[in-house]
Amino acid sequence: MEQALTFIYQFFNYSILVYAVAISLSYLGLSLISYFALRNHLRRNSFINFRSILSSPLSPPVSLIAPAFNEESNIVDNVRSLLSIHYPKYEVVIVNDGSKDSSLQKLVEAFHLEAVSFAVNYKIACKEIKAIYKSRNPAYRNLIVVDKVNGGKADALNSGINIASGKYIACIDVDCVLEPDSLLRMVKPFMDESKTKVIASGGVIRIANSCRIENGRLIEIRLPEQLLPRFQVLEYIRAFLLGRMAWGRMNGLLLISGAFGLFDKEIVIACGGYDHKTVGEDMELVVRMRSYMTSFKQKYKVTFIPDPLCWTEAPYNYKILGRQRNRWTRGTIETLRFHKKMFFNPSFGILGLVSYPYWFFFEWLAPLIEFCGVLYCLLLAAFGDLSLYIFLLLLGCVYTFAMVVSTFAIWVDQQTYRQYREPFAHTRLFVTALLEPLWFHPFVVWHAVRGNIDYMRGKKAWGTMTRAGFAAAQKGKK
Amino acid sequence: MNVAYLSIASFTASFCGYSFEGTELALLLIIFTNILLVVMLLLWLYASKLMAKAREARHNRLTAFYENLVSSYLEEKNARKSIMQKLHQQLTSKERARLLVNVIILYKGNFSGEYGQSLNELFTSLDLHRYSMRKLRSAKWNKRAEGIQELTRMTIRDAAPDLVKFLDARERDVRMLAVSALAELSGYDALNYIEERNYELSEWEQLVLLERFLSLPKANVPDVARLLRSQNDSLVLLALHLVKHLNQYHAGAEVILLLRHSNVKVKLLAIEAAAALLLTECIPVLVQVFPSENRTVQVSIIGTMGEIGSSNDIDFIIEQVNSGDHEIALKGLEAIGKIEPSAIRTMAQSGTGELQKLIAHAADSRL
Repeated sequence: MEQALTFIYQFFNYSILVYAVAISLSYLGLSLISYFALRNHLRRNSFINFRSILSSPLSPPVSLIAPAFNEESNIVDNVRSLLSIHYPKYEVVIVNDGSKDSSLQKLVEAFHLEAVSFAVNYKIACKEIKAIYKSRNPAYRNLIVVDKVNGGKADALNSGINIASGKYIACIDVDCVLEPDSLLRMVKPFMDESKTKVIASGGVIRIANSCRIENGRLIEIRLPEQLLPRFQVLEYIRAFLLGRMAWGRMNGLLLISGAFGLFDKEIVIACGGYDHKTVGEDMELVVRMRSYMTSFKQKYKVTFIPDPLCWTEAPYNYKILGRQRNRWTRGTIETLRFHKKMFFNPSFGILGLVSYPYWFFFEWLAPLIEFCGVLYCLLLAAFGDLSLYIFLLLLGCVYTFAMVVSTFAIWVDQQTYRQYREPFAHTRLFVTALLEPLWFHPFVVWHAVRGNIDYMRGKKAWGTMTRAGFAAAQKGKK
Repeated sequence: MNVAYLSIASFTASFCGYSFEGTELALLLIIFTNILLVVMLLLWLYASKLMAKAREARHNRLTAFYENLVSSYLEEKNARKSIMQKLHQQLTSKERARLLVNVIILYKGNFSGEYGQSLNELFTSLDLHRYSMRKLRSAKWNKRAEGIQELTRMTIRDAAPDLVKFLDARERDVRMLAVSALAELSGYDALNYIEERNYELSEWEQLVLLERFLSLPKANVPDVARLLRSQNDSLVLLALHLVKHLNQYHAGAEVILLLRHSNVKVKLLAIEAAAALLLTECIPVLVQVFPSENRTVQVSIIGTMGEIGSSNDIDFIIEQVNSGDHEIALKGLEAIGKIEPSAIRTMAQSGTGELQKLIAHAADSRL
């Protein structure tokens, strides 16, 4: 009996050791792939004149779809910002998802909107569209406002897709600030390939807290003054520049951020659009599109643009951040469950053999394993079986390794985009990296665990995501 | 990528109570290596920041100096020889040569005519074109790309034959630059080179080529009808764009043949080109192929019939409107509205609620 217990104990120990080494190596591998891919991308970009698209009759039409729910405080400025993007053929489709405030009235007044006789073709199922508005003013001729019954973000996006006339659809959060040339850069990968179809493209999302934004335009980039958004800056740099860049390079990207992504409309419609049943609709759509292309044996690509194209406001308090992380966890579980047939399925190529298992083991299971480890550790300590010396040494190993990856991310940012040019910005980021595993990380793990519990309880709600708004933040500062 | 998902506690706990031979040393070594890596990265980061700052200052200083000299070269014709000597003396390193090339290219972008010509003379007199040509032989693709770009921006037309080989380069970006360079340097003659190319033209390359060709004088437009018979579909697409935008009416017969092409993209563009060229004789072909086409092509056919059709085609279009497909019906109603607006009014009076919605949509000029 004792021998069996020892065996189980040792098996557990070595499994965890293998797991920890595998996850660490995967971070190192992804970081290195990203760095070289980034360097290559920057070199390639230096030879491209994106302005060619502006004057060409061949520029593909794009529909920007932005769902809005109770956004009355900023919606007019946000729409103005979207209407000022540099792109020759685009329309902005704002979907008022049954807002209870005066979002719609504000839009109607600001842009001289009037209802039009739009015969909607419900190619994808969505809640009833009550009315569609266009402007009397020719200056706003590329603006369409859809007023519909509330159905959530996925449903609002589906309504927008039903209305959109562009060949490509850019799904964005209405409160994001897009760089003026973001569409020019996003469209390029779709036009690059002659034999492989690009079905979707994602861009880097950057955090705009404390940045100077005027009239919906980013004027000055600053590192967030508050610690919580600064943790997220570091996290986003790692996630986008070191993580997704590598997955994009390997054509193994599973997630395009809901804040800004460009999709081939035909494929999105063929797949049935966004899924209403999940809170991780952005990830689920990409996985479904990939699954669709694989099932038809078509060569395809999901690309990633590392240029900072979209700026968003990160949660500024722990309550909202907790809700966001809880939802992300539930979205991940739902997507992995919906597409479980991909798990180590060689017919899906890199998606089935690498991307899906990576998400399964290192994105979904990691916080659970970590949480169980904490409990186990406490249990050992309670029984006096904890070797404090070895414990501290191992903790030191993991902590310093986390520092290596975070410092590498800061270094990569400096070597490539040099976004933060304020004095001591990198020092502040490094100090943030020192604090992150002690403060921010446990918080994220706890909410991921809660996400798992909520998922098992059948929680489907998005949870309210309140944002201070850029304008409010600016005023507050003055 | 959440770096701290390292299962800190579980990893730690897994070894609790154990004391392997050498484990402590190994762990200490890992910690030490990690700290060393962090320190090195930080030093590199701060050093590169300082170096970048110094480099930027040096570049700004040199660029301002070269700008001064190049401006003087353009304005003071009598002093050109001495200025050229000064500039020649400056070419002591690759970095300086690159900065000078950048300044000349910048000026070339801003000036044409006599000044543009003078800048070209300066570029060649300083042997900078050789410097760019040397880059074409580099093993690094980005150096070759730089060379192609410099020669293009300085419109060194003699370099065109040297660039042809890059049309089939292994690197996509070099191929793209070669396509755009040949269009810039050789105008429509680039089509002859591109015709021999092994790779298909990407949409981006087609866009760049079309942009360039549309900016050329209309008097020298060659007959691109022969390209419509190419086996290379991407070349056919480019030719169709040219036929459509340059109004090459004499290519009508070839365009009509392409309405039966196996490639859907070619077929769709041929349908558009037929409308642009007002090829009314293509309508019987369109009606004939209509039933066997997919919906996208059918919508496009109806759209073209709206542009060039006559009252004889109304019955066919009405038949399609009644087919029950939303997109086809809407396009059909728009087409009928263009050909015979009175027919729309009649349909509106007798139509069902759904049809009336579609008619209202088709008639709304804001949509």
